[in-house]
Amino acid sequence: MSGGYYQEKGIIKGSDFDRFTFRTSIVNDITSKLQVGVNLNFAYTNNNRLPVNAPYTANPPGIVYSAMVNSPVVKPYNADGTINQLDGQNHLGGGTTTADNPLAIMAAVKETANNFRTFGNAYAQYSFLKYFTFKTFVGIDLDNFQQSFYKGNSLLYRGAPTGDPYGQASAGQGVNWIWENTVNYTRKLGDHSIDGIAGYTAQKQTDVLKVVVAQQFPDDQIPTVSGGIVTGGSEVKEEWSLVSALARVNYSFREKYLLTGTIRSDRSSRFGFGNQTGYFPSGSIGWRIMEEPFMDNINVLNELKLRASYGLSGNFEIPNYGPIALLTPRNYVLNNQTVNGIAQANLENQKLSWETTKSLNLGLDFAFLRDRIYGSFDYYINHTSNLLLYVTIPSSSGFSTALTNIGKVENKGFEFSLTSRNTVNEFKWSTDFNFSSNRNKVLALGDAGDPILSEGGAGLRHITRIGDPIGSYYGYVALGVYKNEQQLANAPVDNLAPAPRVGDMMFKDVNGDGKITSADRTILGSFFPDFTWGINNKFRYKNFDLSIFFQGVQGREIINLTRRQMLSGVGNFNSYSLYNQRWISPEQPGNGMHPRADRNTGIHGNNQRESSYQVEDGSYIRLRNVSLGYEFKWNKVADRVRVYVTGNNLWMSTKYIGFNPETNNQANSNLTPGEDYGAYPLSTTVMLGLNINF
Amino acid sequence: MKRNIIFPLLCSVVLLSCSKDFTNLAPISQRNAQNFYKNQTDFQIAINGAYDGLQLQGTYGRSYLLLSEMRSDNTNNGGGASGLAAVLQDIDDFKEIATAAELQLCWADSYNAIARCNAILDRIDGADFSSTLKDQFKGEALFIRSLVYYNLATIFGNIPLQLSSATSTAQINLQQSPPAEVYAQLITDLNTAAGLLPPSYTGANIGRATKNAAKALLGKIYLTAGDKNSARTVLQQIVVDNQYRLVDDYSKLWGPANENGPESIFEVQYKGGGQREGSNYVEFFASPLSKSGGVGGGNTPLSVTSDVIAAFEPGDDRFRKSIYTNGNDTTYVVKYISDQISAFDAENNWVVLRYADVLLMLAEALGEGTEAYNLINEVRDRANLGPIDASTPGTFEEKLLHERHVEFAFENQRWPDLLRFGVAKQVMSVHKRELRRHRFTCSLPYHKEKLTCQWVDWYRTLVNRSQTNETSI
Repeated sequence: MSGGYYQEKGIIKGSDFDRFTFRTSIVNDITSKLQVGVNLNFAYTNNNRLPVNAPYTANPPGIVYSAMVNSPVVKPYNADGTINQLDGQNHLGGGTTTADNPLAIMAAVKETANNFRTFGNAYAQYSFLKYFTFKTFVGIDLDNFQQSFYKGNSLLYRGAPTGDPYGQASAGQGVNWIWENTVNYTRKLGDHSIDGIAGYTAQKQTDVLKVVVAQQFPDDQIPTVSGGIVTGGSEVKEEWSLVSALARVNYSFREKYLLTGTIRSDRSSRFGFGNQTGYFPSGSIGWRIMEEPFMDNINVLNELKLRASYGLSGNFEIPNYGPIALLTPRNYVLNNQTVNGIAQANLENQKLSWETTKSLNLGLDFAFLRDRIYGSFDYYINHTSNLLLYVTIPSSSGFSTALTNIGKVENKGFEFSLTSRNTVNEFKWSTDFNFSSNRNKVLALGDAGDPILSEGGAGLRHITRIGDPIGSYYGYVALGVYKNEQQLANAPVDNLAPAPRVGDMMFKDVNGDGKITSADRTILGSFFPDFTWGINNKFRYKNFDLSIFFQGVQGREIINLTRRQMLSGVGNFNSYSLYNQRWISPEQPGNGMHPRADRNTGIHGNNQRESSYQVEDGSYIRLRNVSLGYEFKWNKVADRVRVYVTGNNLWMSTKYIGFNPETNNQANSNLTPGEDYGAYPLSTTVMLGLNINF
Repeated sequence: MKRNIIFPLLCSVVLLSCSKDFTNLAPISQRNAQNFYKNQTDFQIAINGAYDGLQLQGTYGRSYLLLSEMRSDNTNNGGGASGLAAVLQDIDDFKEIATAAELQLCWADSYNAIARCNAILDRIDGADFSSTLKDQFKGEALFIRSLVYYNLATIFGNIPLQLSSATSTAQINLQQSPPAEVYAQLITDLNTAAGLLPPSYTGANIGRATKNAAKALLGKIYLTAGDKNSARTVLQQIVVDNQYRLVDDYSKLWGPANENGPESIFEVQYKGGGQREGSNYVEFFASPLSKSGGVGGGNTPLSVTSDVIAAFEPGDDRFRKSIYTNGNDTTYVVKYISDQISAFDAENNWVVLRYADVLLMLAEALGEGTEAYNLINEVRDRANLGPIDASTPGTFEEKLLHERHVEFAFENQRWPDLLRFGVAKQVMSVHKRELRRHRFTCSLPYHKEKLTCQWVDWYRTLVNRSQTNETSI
């Protein structure tokens, strides 16, 4: 039995997170052959949250980005001490747009979300016929969700003369059950040992979400939907189910030669009729070389094992009714009354089926000097085919994208891990090191091989095309600024810049046709890193323990959309301090990378276009965790007591100018990775902890 | 003992999950196209959904105004050169590239509205309900589809004609048809629609397309296609029907209290109040009066130009009923104002066709003569302006275009008018004089001005994702 409580205060005042957990488990041997068990878990979370990650244009606007873009000449408070909302930067004239005062957003928005989750399982296991065990297992996960959102009258959205209050109450429930029935067979015959398992599982999830919306709140006294006039509501119920049959056999000879073969079939409700079932066989072999007689004299090694595996696996992570042409409400107005209307929301695709990955893995495990040094090395090639992607289709069909099985993507690379126990006496010091490198490459895309262009948070800036990583950044190559008239005159004509001047951005004529056109857009980088690594040093002396964990990512690019506004020189908003190095005049050319200040760049150099100017190196080295603990036995009270202090994200080295090089604004879309549109800062946390084991 | 436990369990699991029904799950909260489009109610809801296609952001909700009215000399993107304002400025300056978001939005939403009509037209003959209603629904679908195609043709030029549902990518029509073919199709469809639609509606059906709405649009398309005789015939039928009249007070043509009035022939219907049925027109035309303070935090994308102000004759009653100006820094369009509960959620309908347009189109179809001047003078009279005739300075076309300019200012008529009268290049070159290097890439290969234009190749460009073919005139 165990329980826990966790609390975290957000960086922004008014945001916090509480979690209570409770867990219990009971196992009971009813007879020597029959065992039953129950596990139960409860978790309650309460989250007071604020709109932090959204761009300043969202409603409610993102607090972080609104704070970033607000010009330093905009006063946070009025003379009377109230929050300044109306004298924003649009009052600077020149058609400047405005962003909300972040203080006003914090004061006006209230959102609370809480979850009560109960999950657990029960099983019964019965041994029979000497080598067989039958097990039936039922798992259930109940997830109840409540959310209350209120945006008050007090927020004057981007300089609006009056507030636009909005309240929303949501309640949801997810019920997931799984029933597994397996028969296990285990037998050892001399040098041969064999075990096998065969079974059948069924799983189903039902989700319900109910939403009520209210507007026209006369004031901000009642921040729930009861305070306003209810203007809308919905109840959405969805289900999915999965049925699987599986069989696996493990065989080993003298613990030296190891063989495994698996086959499973899965049938998912999410695919088209007749295309719901996928078959996924796999096999692996292992050879523990250390067990061979010829290794007997090699004392420096104490483990050496070669592994190889090949197999298929499937992915069904798509919306519940992916293949079905759904109709969604599209109401209209007749005689000034709203009337029911409907329209098809997507194309039907009953051919929709499993995305399949074929994986080949070769591995080596090793240990030296009686486990003073041990580790493993793996090399893999994964080919994922029939990817489940929303592919752009000609929109004269009435639809712009279609969920389709398309293409083939390769991931290949290696992973290496090594642990060295440097000292093993009273002062213990060990070092864990890991290093991995992956290459992602699109191998095929449909019959025609057309690339997929994808829109992220600010227009079309991503491409998925054969030969490059999936969701690569796409745009023009910025070469720095035109330094003088001669350079401007000799440069290729830029069809996207109506009237470029010295100090405007110069772009690369990628295809060499003497002019800059949309054909000069090219790959500008990708979110896939070249490699990642981590190194963790652990020390132990008497009752003290200390660990220091560094981690790094190298060769990753981030598309930093904030640069469009804060490093482009259009003067709509605040600028990064880097912009002090802009081109000002031929005498003050800056560092040659940042274009001149130009309110009307759209009719001159068009410096804001999608280009490598917004793509940054996102590599970093970070001190991810330092933990110091002291452990002791509290006689007659507790077996073990540990007091500790832990710091997360204490130090970071990066060239990235945004708040967090791990940002990924569109994390739910694999075609548009790596976007920063005003990301929540990576927080440094210091935590004090106490563990008591009774 | 063991058999007793295990076998019933195994059997039940196998029975439960082997049955195909376990993984054949139909949507619960959303309708499904497979079991829809069967009866009268289904089609009733579907046709309402097709009308909703006219409310989309990429149609009358926004794009048709930005790609038509804002491009003309009536309005401009009221300043600002970054973010959304920069995108709009590109449109105003005729230098948007084929990948511009506004163009894609317009294109995609227009074809989405067309697909809604096609879904009805493809299936309605197989359904079982009264033929009177079937005829009406068919006529409505044909009218909505034709209206959208007309807008696409005036904005983009050569466009694919998708006349039935695409259920697979192979059925998507990629072949662009020249305007002559598009108009030929619309003429056929609108003649059919005029034969199927009822002359009027009552009660809960007010706002649907009528026989004369189809005829008025047909008249406009005949004129655009250069067939003045046919235009005259169909427009005269509307006049003879005597169903509509000019309202006495020009300002009573707009606003929540005057919707679907005696002069109105067809309007896109909106309703405010947080049901996602409100319009954006207050924000886009009169942001100082809006709840949001403007688009993008303070802009008015459809700002009044000095050229349109100058076009009004002294004493024209329509001026102050179209434009508010304090003579200094605040000027905006007053045709579309109303009290909003929320931003971008106004009551105001969009008037697509009204009787004054029929009168002036008929004058255009008749050509210079007493009858045509009488029609123009009928419209002028309401504006407290004296009559004109052949002796008034200027050509007949100039006088007619001038009248249309001020009568329909900010009603999405100016840009197609400039193209139809063959003066787009001339007028816009004067209007856009401040742009020294602007590339006037215009949208239409029209019958009078053979403009070579980038949009001819726009669609192919999108498909090939290659380069845009930007040309200048």
